[in-house]
Amino acid sequence: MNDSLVATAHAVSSSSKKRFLLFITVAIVLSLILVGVAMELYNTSGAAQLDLSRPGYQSVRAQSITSDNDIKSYSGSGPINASTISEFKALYKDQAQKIIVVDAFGGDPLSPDALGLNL
Amino acid sequence: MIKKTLGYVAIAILLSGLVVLSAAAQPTSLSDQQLEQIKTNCLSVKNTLNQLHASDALLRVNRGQTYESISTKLMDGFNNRVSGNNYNNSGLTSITTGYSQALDTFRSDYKTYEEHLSTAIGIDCSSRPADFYYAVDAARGYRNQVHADVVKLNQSISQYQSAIDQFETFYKGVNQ
Repeated sequence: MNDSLVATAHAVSSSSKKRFLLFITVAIVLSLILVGVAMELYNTSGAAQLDLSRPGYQSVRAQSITSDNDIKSYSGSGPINASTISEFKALYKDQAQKIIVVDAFGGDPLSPDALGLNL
Repeated sequence: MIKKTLGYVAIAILLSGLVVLSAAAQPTSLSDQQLEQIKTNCLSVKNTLNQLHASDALLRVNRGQTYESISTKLMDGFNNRVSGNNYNNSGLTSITTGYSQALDTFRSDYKTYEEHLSTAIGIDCSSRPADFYYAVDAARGYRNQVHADVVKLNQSISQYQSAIDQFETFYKGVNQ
Protein backbone atom coordinates (compact mmCIF):
# COMPACT_ATOMS: atom_id res chain seq x y z
CA MET A 1 0.00 0.00 0.00
CA ASN A 2 2.78 2.36 1.07
CA ASP A 3 4.92 1.41 -1.94
CA SER A 4 2.03 2.18 -4.25
CA LEU A 5 1.52 5.58 -2.67
CA VAL A 6 5.22 6.43 -2.92
CA ALA A 7 5.27 5.36 -6.57
CA THR A 8 2.21 7.51 -7.29
CA ALA A 9 3.78 10.48 -5.47
CA HIS A 10 6.97 10.09 -7.52
CA ALA A 11 5.04 9.93 -10.78
CA VAL A 12 3.04 13.07 -9.89
CA SER A 13 6.20 14.91 -8.85
CA SER A 14 7.99 13.96 -12.07
CA SER A 15 5.01 15.01 -14.18
CA SER A 16 4.79 18.36 -12.33
CA LYS A 17 8.49 19.02 -12.90
CA LYS A 18 8.13 18.33 -16.62
CA ARG A 19 5.12 20.59 -16.87
CA PHE A 20 6.94 23.34 -14.98
CA LEU A 21 9.96 23.07 -17.29
CA LEU A 22 7.67 23.17 -20.31
CA PHE A 23 5.92 26.23 -18.90
CA ILE A 24 9.25 28.02 -18.34
CA THR A 25 10.48 27.12 -21.83
CA VAL A 26 7.28 28.32 -23.50
CA ALA A 27 7.39 31.56 -21.48
CA ILE A 28 11.01 32.23 -22.52
CA VAL A 29 10.33 31.46 -26.20
CA LEU A 30 7.23 33.66 -26.19
CA SER A 31 9.08 36.55 -24.56
CA LEU A 32 11.91 36.23 -27.11
CA ILE A 33 9.41 36.36 -29.97
CA LEU A 34 7.67 39.40 -28.48
CA VAL A 35 11.01 41.18 -27.94
CA GLY A 36 11.90 40.43 -31.58
CA VAL A 37 8.59 41.86 -32.78
CA ALA A 38 9.03 44.95 -30.58
CA MET A 39 12.57 45.54 -31.88
CA GLU A 40 11.39 45.16 -35.46
CA LEU A 41 8.61 47.69 -34.87
CA TYR A 42 11.07 50.04 -33.14
CA ASN A 43 13.41 49.92 -36.12
CA THR A 44 10.91 49.97 -38.97
CA SER A 45 8.53 52.59 -37.58
CA GLY A 46 11.17 55.31 -37.43
CA ALA A 47 11.04 55.47 -33.62
CA ALA A 48 14.73 54.51 -33.48
CA GLN A 49 15.62 57.71 -35.35
CA LEU A 50 13.76 59.84 -32.79
CA ASP A 51 15.13 58.07 -29.74
CA LEU A 52 17.75 60.37 -28.29
CA SER A 53 18.28 58.06 -25.31
CA ARG A 54 20.37 55.82 -27.56
CA PRO A 55 24.12 55.71 -26.96
CA GLY A 56 25.95 58.39 -28.94
CA TYR A 57 23.30 61.06 -28.43
CA GLN A 58 24.30 62.07 -24.89
CA SER A 59 25.86 65.32 -26.12
CA VAL A 60 22.63 66.59 -27.70
CA ARG A 61 19.99 65.00 -25.48
CA ALA A 62 19.57 68.05 -23.25
CA GLN A 63 18.95 70.32 -26.24
CA SER A 64 15.86 68.50 -27.48
CA ILE A 65 12.52 70.24 -27.22
CA THR A 66 10.59 68.20 -24.69
CA SER A 67 7.36 70.15 -24.91
CA ASP A 68 5.57 71.75 -27.85
CA ASN A 69 3.92 74.41 -25.70
CA ASP A 70 5.97 76.96 -27.61
CA ILE A 71 3.36 76.88 -30.37
CA LYS A 72 -0.03 78.11 -29.30
CA SER A 73 -2.91 76.07 -30.65
CA TYR A 74 -5.44 77.92 -32.84
CA SER A 75 -8.98 76.82 -32.13
CA GLY A 76 -10.92 75.36 -35.04
CA SER A 77 -14.18 76.75 -33.71
CA GLY A 78 -15.17 80.39 -33.34
CA PRO A 79 -15.92 83.35 -35.54
CA ILE A 80 -13.97 84.59 -38.54
CA ASN A 81 -13.42 88.31 -38.54
CA ALA A 82 -10.58 90.78 -39.12
CA SER A 83 -9.36 90.34 -35.56
CA THR A 84 -9.25 86.52 -35.58
CA ILE A 85 -7.55 86.48 -38.99
CA SER A 86 -4.91 88.92 -37.74
CA GLU A 87 -4.41 86.85 -34.61
CA PHE A 88 -3.82 83.73 -36.70
CA LYS A 89 -1.54 85.56 -39.11
CA ALA A 90 0.66 86.73 -36.24
CA LEU A 91 0.82 83.22 -34.74
CA TYR A 92 1.61 81.62 -38.06
CA LYS A 93 4.14 84.22 -39.17
CA ASP A 94 6.03 83.80 -35.90
CA GLN A 95 6.43 80.03 -36.38
CA ALA A 96 7.02 80.23 -40.14
CA GLN A 97 9.89 82.65 -39.70
CA LYS A 98 11.53 80.48 -37.04
CA ILE A 99 11.41 77.52 -39.42
CA ILE A 100 12.36 79.18 -42.69
CA VAL A 101 15.27 81.22 -41.36
CA VAL A 102 17.32 78.06 -40.64
CA ASP A 103 18.56 76.03 -43.59
CA ALA A 104 18.14 72.63 -41.92
CA PHE A 105 20.20 69.79 -43.38
CA GLY A 106 21.78 72.29 -45.72
CA GLY A 107 25.44 72.54 -46.58
CA ASP A 108 27.42 69.46 -47.46
CA PRO A 109 29.12 68.15 -44.31
CA LEU A 110 29.55 64.71 -45.89
CA SER A 111 31.47 65.92 -48.93
CA PRO A 112 35.05 64.63 -49.22
CA ASP A 113 36.34 68.19 -48.78
CA ALA A 114 34.35 68.76 -45.58
CA LEU A 115 35.57 65.44 -44.18
CA GLY A 116 39.18 66.27 -45.00
CA LEU A 117 39.38 63.66 -47.74
CA ASN A 118 40.58 65.68 -50.71
CA LEU A 119 40.42 62.75 -53.11
CA MET B 1 20.62 40.24 -96.17
CA ILE B 2 20.36 43.99 -95.50
CA LYS B 3 17.69 43.35 -92.87
CA LYS B 4 19.97 40.84 -91.15
CA THR B 5 22.91 43.27 -91.16
CA LEU B 6 20.71 46.06 -89.77
CA GLY B 7 19.52 43.69 -87.06
CA TYR B 8 23.12 42.91 -86.06
CA VAL B 9 23.97 46.63 -86.00
CA ALA B 10 20.94 47.38 -83.81
CA ILE B 11 21.88 44.61 -81.38
CA ALA B 12 25.50 45.85 -81.28
CA ILE B 13 24.35 49.41 -80.52
CA LEU B 14 22.01 48.14 -77.80
CA LEU B 15 24.73 46.05 -76.18
CA SER B 16 27.29 48.86 -76.29
CA GLY B 17 24.70 51.17 -74.74
CA LEU B 18 24.13 48.69 -71.91
CA VAL B 19 27.88 48.39 -71.33
CA VAL B 20 28.24 52.19 -71.16
CA LEU B 21 25.28 52.45 -68.77
CA SER B 22 26.59 49.75 -66.44
CA ALA B 23 30.04 51.35 -66.44
CA ALA B 24 28.49 54.70 -65.52
CA ALA B 25 26.53 53.08 -62.68
CA GLN B 26 29.66 51.64 -61.09
CA PRO B 27 31.47 53.89 -58.63
CA THR B 28 34.81 55.23 -59.73
CA SER B 29 37.57 53.15 -58.20
CA LEU B 30 39.90 54.73 -55.68
CA SER B 31 43.66 54.80 -56.11
CA ASP B 32 46.02 53.31 -53.52
CA GLN B 33 47.00 56.83 -52.49
CA GLN B 34 43.37 57.78 -51.92
CA LEU B 35 42.71 54.63 -49.92
CA GLU B 36 45.78 55.42 -47.81
CA GLN B 37 44.46 58.93 -47.19
CA ILE B 38 41.13 57.54 -45.94
CA LYS B 39 42.99 55.18 -43.60
CA THR B 40 45.18 58.03 -42.29
CA ASN B 41 42.18 60.29 -41.59
CA CYS B 42 39.98 57.43 -40.41
CA LEU B 43 39.74 58.47 -36.77
CA SER B 44 39.01 62.16 -37.39
CA VAL B 45 36.44 61.37 -40.11
CA LYS B 46 34.69 58.92 -37.78
CA ASN B 47 34.56 61.57 -35.06
CA THR B 48 33.08 64.08 -37.50
CA LEU B 49 30.49 61.56 -38.65
CA ASN B 50 29.52 60.72 -35.06
CA GLN B 51 29.05 64.40 -34.26
CA LEU B 52 26.99 64.90 -37.42
CA HIS B 53 24.92 61.83 -36.58
CA ALA B 54 24.05 63.27 -33.17
CA SER B 55 23.41 66.84 -34.35
CA ASP B 56 21.23 65.66 -37.24
CA ALA B 57 19.21 63.48 -34.86
CA LEU B 58 18.60 66.49 -32.65
CA LEU B 59 17.63 68.57 -35.69
CA ARG B 60 15.25 65.83 -36.84
CA VAL B 61 13.55 65.63 -33.43
CA ASN B 62 13.16 69.38 -32.94
CA ARG B 63 12.30 70.16 -36.54
CA GLY B 64 9.88 67.27 -36.80
CA GLN B 65 8.05 68.44 -33.71
CA THR B 66 7.73 71.99 -35.02
CA TYR B 67 6.62 70.83 -38.47
CA GLU B 68 4.02 68.59 -36.86
CA SER B 69 2.75 71.37 -34.59
CA ILE B 70 2.42 73.82 -37.48
CA SER B 71 0.13 71.35 -39.19
CA THR B 72 -1.93 70.16 -36.23
CA LYS B 73 -2.03 73.30 -34.11
CA LEU B 74 -2.19 76.03 -36.72
CA MET B 75 -3.13 74.91 -40.24
CA ASP B 76 -5.83 72.43 -39.21
CA GLY B 77 -7.30 74.90 -36.73
CA PHE B 78 -7.54 77.72 -39.24
CA ASN B 79 -8.88 75.45 -42.01
CA ASN B 80 -11.64 74.24 -39.69
CA ARG B 81 -12.40 77.79 -38.57
CA VAL B 82 -12.75 78.97 -42.18
CA SER B 83 -14.89 75.98 -43.15
CA GLY B 84 -17.01 76.28 -39.97
CA ASN B 85 -17.89 79.84 -40.96
CA ASN B 86 -19.04 78.68 -44.39
CA TYR B 87 -16.14 80.08 -46.37
CA ASN B 88 -14.38 78.14 -49.08
CA ASN B 89 -11.19 76.66 -47.63
CA SER B 90 -10.23 74.41 -50.56
CA GLY B 91 -7.09 76.43 -51.36
CA LEU B 92 -5.91 76.22 -47.76
CA THR B 93 -6.69 72.50 -47.37
CA SER B 94 -4.96 71.71 -50.64
CA ILE B 95 -1.75 73.30 -49.36
CA THR B 96 -2.16 71.52 -46.01
CA THR B 97 -2.53 68.17 -47.79
CA GLY B 98 0.63 68.84 -49.81
CA TYR B 99 2.40 69.84 -46.62
CA SER B 100 1.37 66.62 -44.85
CA GLN B 101 2.60 64.56 -47.78
CA ALA B 102 5.90 66.44 -47.79
CA LEU B 103 6.18 65.82 -44.04
CA ASP B 104 5.67 62.08 -44.56
CA THR B 105 8.35 62.08 -47.25
CA PHE B 106 10.69 64.00 -44.94
CA ARG B 107 10.20 61.39 -42.17
CA SER B 108 10.78 58.50 -44.53
CA ASP B 109 13.81 60.06 -46.24
CA TYR B 110 15.39 60.98 -42.91
CA LYS B 111 15.00 57.36 -41.77
CA THR B 112 16.76 56.14 -44.92
CA TYR B 113 19.52 58.72 -44.50
CA GLU B 114 20.07 57.84 -40.83
CA GLU B 115 20.26 54.14 -41.63
CA HIS B 116 22.88 54.76 -44.32
CA LEU B 117 24.90 57.08 -42.10
CA SER B 118 24.81 54.48 -39.30
CA THR B 119 26.01 51.86 -41.77
CA ALA B 120 28.90 54.11 -42.82
CA ILE B 121 29.84 54.79 -39.19
CA GLY B 122 29.79 51.05 -38.52
CA ILE B 123 32.35 50.29 -41.25
CA ASP B 124 35.96 49.99 -40.12
CA CYS B 125 37.61 52.60 -42.36
CA SER B 126 41.15 51.44 -41.56
CA SER B 127 40.51 47.93 -42.90
CA ARG B 128 37.78 48.68 -45.48
CA PRO B 129 38.49 52.23 -46.71
CA ALA B 130 36.78 51.85 -50.09
CA ASP B 131 33.55 50.45 -48.58
CA PHE B 132 33.62 53.26 -46.04
CA TYR B 133 34.06 55.91 -48.73
CA TYR B 134 31.17 54.62 -50.85
CA ALA B 135 28.93 54.25 -47.79
CA VAL B 136 29.60 57.90 -46.84
CA ASP B 137 28.98 58.93 -50.43
CA ALA B 138 25.61 57.12 -50.41
CA ALA B 139 24.65 58.74 -47.09
CA ARG B 140 25.58 62.10 -48.59
CA GLY B 141 23.08 61.57 -51.42
CA TYR B 142 20.32 60.70 -48.96
CA ARG B 143 21.14 63.74 -46.81
CA ASN B 144 20.78 65.96 -49.88
CA GLN B 145 17.36 64.39 -50.39
CA VAL B 146 16.38 65.27 -46.81
CA HIS B 147 17.47 68.84 -47.48
CA ALA B 148 15.30 68.89 -50.61
CA ASP B 149 12.36 67.71 -48.47
CA VAL B 150 13.00 70.54 -45.99
CA VAL B 151 13.03 73.07 -48.85
CA LYS B 152 9.71 71.67 -50.07
CA LEU B 153 8.19 71.89 -46.58
CA ASN B 154 9.37 75.47 -46.24
CA GLN B 155 7.82 76.28 -49.61
CA SER B 156 4.50 74.84 -48.44
CA ILE B 157 4.72 76.96 -45.28
CA SER B 158 5.28 80.08 -47.41
CA GLN B 159 2.46 79.11 -49.79
CA TYR B 160 0.08 78.76 -46.86
CA GLN B 161 1.12 82.19 -45.64
CA SER B 162 0.26 83.63 -49.07
CA ALA B 163 -3.05 81.74 -49.04
CA ILE B 164 -3.96 83.36 -45.69
CA ASP B 165 -3.22 86.78 -47.18
CA GLN B 166 -5.44 85.94 -50.14
CA PHE B 167 -8.21 84.77 -47.86
CA GLU B 168 -7.92 87.95 -45.80
CA THR B 169 -8.19 90.08 -48.96
CA PHE B 170 -11.19 88.05 -50.06
CA TYR B 171 -12.80 88.34 -46.61
CA LYS B 172 -12.32 92.12 -46.52
CA GLY B 173 -13.74 92.41 -50.05
CA VAL B 174 -16.86 90.40 -49.15
CA ASN B 175 -17.50 92.07 -45.80
CA GLN B 176 -16.98 95.71 -46.72
